Amino acid sequence: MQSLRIAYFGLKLPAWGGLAKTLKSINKFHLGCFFICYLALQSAYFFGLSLQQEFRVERDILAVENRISLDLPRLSLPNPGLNLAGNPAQVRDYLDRLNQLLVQQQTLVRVISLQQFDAGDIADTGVTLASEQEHAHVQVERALYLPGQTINVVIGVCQSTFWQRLSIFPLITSILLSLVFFPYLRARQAVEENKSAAADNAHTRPTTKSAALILDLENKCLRLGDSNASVFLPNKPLCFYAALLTYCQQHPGARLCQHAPLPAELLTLANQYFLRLIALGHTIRKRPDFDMNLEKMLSEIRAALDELLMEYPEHKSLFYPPKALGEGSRSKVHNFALLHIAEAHWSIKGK
Amino acid sequence: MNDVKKIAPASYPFALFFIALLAMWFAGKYSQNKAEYHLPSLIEDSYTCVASHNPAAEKLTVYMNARSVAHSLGELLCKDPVVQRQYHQVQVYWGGGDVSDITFVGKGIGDLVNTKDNIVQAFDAENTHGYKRLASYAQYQAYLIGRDEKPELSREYLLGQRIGLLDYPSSRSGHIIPMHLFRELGLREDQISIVYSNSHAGLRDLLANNQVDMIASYWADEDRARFSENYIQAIGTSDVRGSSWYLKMNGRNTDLYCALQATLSSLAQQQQSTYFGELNFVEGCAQQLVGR
Repeated sequence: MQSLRIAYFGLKLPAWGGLAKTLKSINKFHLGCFFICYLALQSAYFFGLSLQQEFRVERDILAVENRISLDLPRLSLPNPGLNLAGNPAQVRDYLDRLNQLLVQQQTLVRVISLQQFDAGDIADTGVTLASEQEHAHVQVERALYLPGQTINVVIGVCQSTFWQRLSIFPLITSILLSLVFFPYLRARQAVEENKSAAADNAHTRPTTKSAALILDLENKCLRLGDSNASVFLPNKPLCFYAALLTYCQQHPGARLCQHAPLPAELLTLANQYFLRLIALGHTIRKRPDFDMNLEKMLSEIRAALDELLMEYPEHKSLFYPPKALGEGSRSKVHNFALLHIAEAHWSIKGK
Repeated sequence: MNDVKKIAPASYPFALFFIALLAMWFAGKYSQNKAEYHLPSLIEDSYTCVASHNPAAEKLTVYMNARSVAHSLGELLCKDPVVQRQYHQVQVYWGGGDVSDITFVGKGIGDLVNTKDNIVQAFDAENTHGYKRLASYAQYQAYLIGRDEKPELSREYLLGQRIGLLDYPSSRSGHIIPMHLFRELGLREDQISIVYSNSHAGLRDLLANNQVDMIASYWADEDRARFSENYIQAIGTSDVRGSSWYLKMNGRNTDLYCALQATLSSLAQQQQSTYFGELNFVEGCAQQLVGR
């Protein structure tokens, strides 16, 4: 009893403890799956039953027609052309016995009348189906063609009610089927969650926690979030890189060109960071001119990042001031701004 | 997830789902009770009983018109020692009108038959098949029975009247004698309105329900409850003989002849009806007249 196995499906269903857990974890997807299964299976049952019932009713009607046709020579039906009065008592007795037979054989049809003779109520004959009264009767008229005479037979067909066309089988099967489908749903959900999570990561948080860049002004070094590895950077490039990161973050899409004068704002930021370094006691020298030797400064920054991001080459595009490619570093179109930098990607320690 | 992948490919749930659909379809289809599409015959036309366990012996075929009497007659015959000695089983048919009468008497199928003399005469059955009269039911008078007044036997009175007759032409009181009368009075069928019925009881119902003005029938004591004896008018010159029992005599089987007379006599004593209660025997055996 530890695990419920259904040999037929070849599947192992969760054990009873697991079942309780499964029941608790049922969500709207599971219920939807169950209802769709139930509706589909119940419809299949319904149509199978209805079709068979129609087939059966038609055969019953044919059987009754056949019986009456065979018995016609013995039945005293009136025929005005031959001065025959007919024997109502005999015909009614015949119809009653025929109806009793139809009830006994559990057919779905009853004879209501033959020519002008009505059959007695089935209740009068002492044989009554318990549900007989609840059935809707549909009347079917048939004609038997004799030479020179037409015999009309009216047959009542018991229609089963809506509730009689429901069954416990579709319910049980849809529950079993849902239990079988639940693991698939869960697997599917997991896949989708993973996918969306991956998508989130790719678009909004490309650096996981481990890859967040930290500029440590106190220790004058660059560091990645989780690792202890750090790269020392001289004062001037450090301040410039910090200013560059801040500036590019504040001005997305800014263009920085080696041959154009640097924006005043960037220089101010660099100076502020340098003042901070002085405040932290790393230097007492006067402020350097950040406009000078720009190429050398960027090279130092790139070299430090190369060392730091050796194991994370995918993050280079984010933090690496782009090199001139093809156009030459002196080209006017070369832009060394960090285009994709965002606040979440980096932080400054000791600001 | 890997577990699921291992045991089943991705199409597995769909396959399972369609198998379940198919299974439900068949479950619905076969949830119905197996129906028997062959209805057995409902109409009985004879009663059979075993007289003796001698399979070599023959079957005694009896034919009569009244179903109610047929059972008692069959049982009596099966208990009769002479019948037991000579026959294996007794089969009593009850008839459905003139067509069966003609079949059983005209073709000589019935060994013991209860029929009207005019049928026997029509087929000369006494000479053709050797039928011999055993006994006859009591003679009776044919009447026109009115509901509110006594019918008159005049052309003027009967013109336009609604008259109930029997629909089988072998009936004397219900068909032959009144038709004869109308012809004698010069009444054509379109001058009176004839309503047919299937039986004497049916005629009486027609009269009681005022669907006819008069009926042609016999008068029985039971009729006093519904109709007045003062409103009946005798028709026909002589009394009508009731139907008779005939035996198909092969050789001089007098034992059977007398045994059957005795059986019919005890049958007559059992009967409640006036008609079947009075039986006149023809000749040959000890008792000549049995009346209640």
